[in-house]
Amino acid sequence: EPVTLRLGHPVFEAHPIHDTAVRFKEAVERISNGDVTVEIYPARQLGDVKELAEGVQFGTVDMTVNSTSAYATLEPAIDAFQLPGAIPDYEGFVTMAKSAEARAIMDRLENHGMVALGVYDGGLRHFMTVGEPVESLEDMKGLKTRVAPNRMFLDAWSAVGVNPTPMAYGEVYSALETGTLDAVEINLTSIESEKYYEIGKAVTLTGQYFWPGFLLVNKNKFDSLTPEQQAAMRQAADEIVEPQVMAVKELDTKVLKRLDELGIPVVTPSDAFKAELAAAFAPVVEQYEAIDPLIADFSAKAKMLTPAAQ
Amino acid sequence: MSKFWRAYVAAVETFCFAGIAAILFVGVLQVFARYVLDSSLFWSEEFMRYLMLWIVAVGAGISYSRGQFLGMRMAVEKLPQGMRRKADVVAAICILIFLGVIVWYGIAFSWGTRRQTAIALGLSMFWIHISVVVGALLLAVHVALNELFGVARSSARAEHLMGAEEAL
Amino acid sequence: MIWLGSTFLLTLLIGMPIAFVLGFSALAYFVTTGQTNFLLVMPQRMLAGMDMFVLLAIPLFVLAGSIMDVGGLTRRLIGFANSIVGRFRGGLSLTAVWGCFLFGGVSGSAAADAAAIGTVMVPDMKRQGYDVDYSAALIAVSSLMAPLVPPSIAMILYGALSGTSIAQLLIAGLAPGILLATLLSVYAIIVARRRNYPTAPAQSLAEIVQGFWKAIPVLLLPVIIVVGIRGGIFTATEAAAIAAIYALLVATFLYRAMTWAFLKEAFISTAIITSAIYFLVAIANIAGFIFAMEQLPQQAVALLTGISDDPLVILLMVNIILLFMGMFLDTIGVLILTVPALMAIGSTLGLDPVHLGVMVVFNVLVGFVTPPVGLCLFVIAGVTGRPMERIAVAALPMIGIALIVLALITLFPQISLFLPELLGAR
Ligand code: NA
Ligand code: NA
Repeated sequence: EPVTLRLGHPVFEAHPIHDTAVRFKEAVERISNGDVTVEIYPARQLGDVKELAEGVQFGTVDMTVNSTSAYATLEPAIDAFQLPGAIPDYEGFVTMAKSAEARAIMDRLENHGMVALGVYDGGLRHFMTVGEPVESLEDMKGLKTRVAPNRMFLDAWSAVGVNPTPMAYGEVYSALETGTLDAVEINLTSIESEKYYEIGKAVTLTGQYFWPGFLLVNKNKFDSLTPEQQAAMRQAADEIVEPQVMAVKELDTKVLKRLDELGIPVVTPSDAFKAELAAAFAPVVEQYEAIDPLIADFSAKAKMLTPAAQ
Repeated sequence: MSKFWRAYVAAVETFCFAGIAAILFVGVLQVFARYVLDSSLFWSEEFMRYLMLWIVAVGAGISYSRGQFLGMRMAVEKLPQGMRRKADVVAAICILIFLGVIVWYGIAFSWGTRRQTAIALGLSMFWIHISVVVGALLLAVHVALNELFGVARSSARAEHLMGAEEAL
Repeated sequence: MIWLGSTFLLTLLIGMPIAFVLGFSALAYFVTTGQTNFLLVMPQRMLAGMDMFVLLAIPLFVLAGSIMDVGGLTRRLIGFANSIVGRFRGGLSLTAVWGCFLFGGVSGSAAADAAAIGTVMVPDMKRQGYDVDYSAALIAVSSLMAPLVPPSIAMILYGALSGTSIAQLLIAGLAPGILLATLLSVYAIIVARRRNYPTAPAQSLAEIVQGFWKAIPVLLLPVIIVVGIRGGIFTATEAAAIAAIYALLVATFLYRAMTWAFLKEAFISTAIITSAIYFLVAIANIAGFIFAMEQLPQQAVALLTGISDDPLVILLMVNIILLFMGMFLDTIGVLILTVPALMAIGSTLGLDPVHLGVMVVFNVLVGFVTPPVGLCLFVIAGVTGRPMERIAVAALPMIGIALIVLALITLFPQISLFLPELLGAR
């Protein structure tokens, strides 16, 4: 009894989340010998982030790849994946994504009718300004900065001293362009795909947190599959973690090269700036570690990572 | 009945008035806080979005009675009186079935999402999502009273021939 | 799919409001295809469709428009227009055209424009010997400028439904609006010469300045919107709130025309009008889900590109289809049904989304003046008491002019795009 699963996601086809979906489709169809097939509906066709989150929960959409932050109000432990400054680089992200600590958090979603098969990445977040390049914490002070709507980000950026400004994503480009906003915290691939390089004056590689996405399947749907099909899905989800995350890293390199060609300055923060940022984030990290032991466990594990570059 | 109805209309109008006033005030405040005070509000956008959902829910019924829901009446207007009445009743029943489905599944949806929280306002999404149920219920009441029982049509209907299109 | 189509046509024909036609058809689709598990999607999609920040510009611009329409505002705008164009042959008809244009700067709505200018101008024109059907038709077609000149609720709706930049759309509509006004003026002058319509006495510079001075608070509104957005003070959505508060302050303190009763009525009717629009947007989001599941936009693209691979031929077909739909369906209905497919066609042809938006919005606006279902025809017929068919006949040459403008903005994207580019909004 072969099964076809409908997977909806909210981004365009150039985005790493779409890449995750494509890799999963390829892997699961190969491993299951076509017993499990996946139909991808990209670009919000089946709904935006919130609708897809609810859709998989209710079973009106079989599967999705969707930002982890969309689930943070459902299970606060999920904020662990984006604790500011916790994971140093893409290699570290792979380690954490495959860790038992991550699995423990993901399993919580089963309480909400969803099975999280894995967690992938949408890109490390940096700081793009439309004014002067930012080279110190002082430079960031008071900048009207678009922050994705999430409590933890708001707390983190307030601690840094920027003026965190929630804004509908569709208005951000114009707002940056006209100066309604001074800055945006964003991943490099979006600077490319959303053409932010047309308006950005400088990018500072602050790398505060990743933008992870869960690969989710409705629990009832998953339970209705044969053990072989379930195993194929789990295996496919596991084997694509590293190649997917490394592909994002590679994409970042390409975008950096492109920014260089366009003459947009890319600032690598000094050690002093990094230390200032970490110090600003520290109390917020502590505050969120205290919310749930799973966050504390995840954070402790992340602290043991050593940057791959060293 | 008519006393009750007047009280209902007054309540709806008061809510709509206060709601639009609040959206206007918060919209201006949001600009003022960001541009003048350099300290952006984090709750204002969410507040306005969700308040508007409730304004729509509360106002939709009266909106229907004031003839704001435009249809293609060309064919029906050409029918003889009796046939037209039958067509209107069939239409009303179809509308009521649709609204009934929205109410039923709207409750299921709101209940199923009660553990989501509004990010800035912190309240359960149940209170946001249930607005669609209230809206569908009020619409159903207005459709039934207007089209099946021929009552509660707003006297203002003649002045509002244009419908939602009026805003374009 | 057959069930979906026949339910749609049947409920449409028995005169059901378009929102419920779409909603009930969606219900019939889910039930007849055995996908009852998707019924839960209906309230979910409705909520998600309405839960968009940019849509808040609709109630706020409706409010700004209705507040601005008190205190003799229309008279001031017409007085100013007359002081400049009244001196030419057929001066009063030119005043009507440019009065509609100026009114468009405070109102986002064609119907409001037709009603306001029609009420004041048609009696004046009749007194000076203008044919009433001609006057009514001219104002009806001129009123299409209101949704082209910023602010524009039609542009906001298109931007929200398609995900196109609203700030850019608002500015991009201005030049097509001016083009329409100019061509209608040329036509009006030709008609006036042929029928020997009078001119108004030329006004002195002092009188022009005085007329301008009186109209300044009103004329400032679109300026505030564009400067505020461009200057980084507020976003396109927030501009609506600023416009409404500005209108409120001008009406209350400058014109001293604001009464408590009027204020209350303005706020309440804003809520009531907006409710109906939001409800349509909500239903549109259900329709969008079905279109995506059935891959209808992709099929529409395949169908059109199968007929021709020339982008201009495809755009011509798109325009004809939209015009045909606009004859029978209301504007929002046309947008709801076609935007998903239009976006797919636009990306296949590599069209600029803002250019596509202006073209589509202009096209569906023409539906306001085409019989049998044309909102501005209804409005102006109501205002003048003339039969709609007579006005429609008188409007035919002007509809032709509107179609010429449509052809021009289809062929030359720069007409729409040069202003956003000039103002650096791109
Ligand atoms: Na306008
Ligand atoms: Na029409």
